[in-house]
Amino acid sequence: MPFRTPLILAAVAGTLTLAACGSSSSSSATSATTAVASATTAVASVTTSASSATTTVKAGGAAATTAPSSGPATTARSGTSVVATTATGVATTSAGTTTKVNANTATQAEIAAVLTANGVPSADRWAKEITEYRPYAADDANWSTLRSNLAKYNPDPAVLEKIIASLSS
Amino acid sequence: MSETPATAIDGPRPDPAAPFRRYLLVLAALGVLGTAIELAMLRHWTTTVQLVPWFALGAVAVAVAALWLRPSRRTVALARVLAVAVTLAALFGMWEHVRGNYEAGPLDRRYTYTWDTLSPTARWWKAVTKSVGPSPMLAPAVLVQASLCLLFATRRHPALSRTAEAVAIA
Repeated sequence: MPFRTPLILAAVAGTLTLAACGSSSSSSATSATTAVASATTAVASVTTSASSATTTVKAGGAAATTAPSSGPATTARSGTSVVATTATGVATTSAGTTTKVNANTATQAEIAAVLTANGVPSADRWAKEITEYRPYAADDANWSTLRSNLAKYNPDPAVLEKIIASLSS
Repeated sequence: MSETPATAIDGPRPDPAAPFRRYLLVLAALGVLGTAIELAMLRHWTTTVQLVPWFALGAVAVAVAALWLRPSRRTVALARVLAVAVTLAALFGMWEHVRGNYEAGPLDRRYTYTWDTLSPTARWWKAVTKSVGPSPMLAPAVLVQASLCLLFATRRHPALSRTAEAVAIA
């Protein structure tokens, strides 16, 4: 069988090449999306402003100019989140803050319910992802672990901020 | 008369493909090692279904070790069974990757509100090509490669004819 060995080796090499392509594209895609996630926070205010203008019409002027009530350390992120959720008609408390759920202890259904209440589209699917990657460290104030994991899905920055704003640890 | 299959086969009729069998087993072992490292870096264990490739890698490792250290009719049969099982696991993994990408479609900012309006063909195509979702469809195919190496290494393996020849000699 003099000609079979090259054929076999060629088949193996081809399979290996295809598999390597898949893996390398995965890694590069992950890196790229991680970079997007890092940039998400920076551009969140701009994006949210645009979506506020759009959704305010849908909500029939339900958006109020609720001022952020967070402390100085998280003013930018929390402020953006509060404005976004208010503008999109998310159920809010009387204090103007988004309803939160413990990301470490709540069930997937409970998380999905809160996300739905806060106006997150595909809440069930996001809740599944949130439960998949826990536990979340209490000292991770920026939810960097969750952000990097969710960034793989190329989420809308405003949606990501809504999700983060809906969680506590 | 004592039966000495090794003498009957290895002595008079050495296996000319023996080096290539070893090369294929080395390729399979390298595939196992590389895939294990890749899966570990991806933390591919957060759900139960993500443990499947770890068991598949274990199966390939066992088969490679058995063929390398104790080649016999039984270990050849075991390697073939494991290779088929791992191939099925790899195909399942490819399906899971595509399905995961499909379900991740509405999470993508470009399709948050339009995913359901796309045709099924368009949605599945985007899932297969990883236009949506994070999972590369062909990544589990590395297990198929390792399985093929195993199967090729058992092709016309001398251990398969030992028993027959031993009976004939007796």
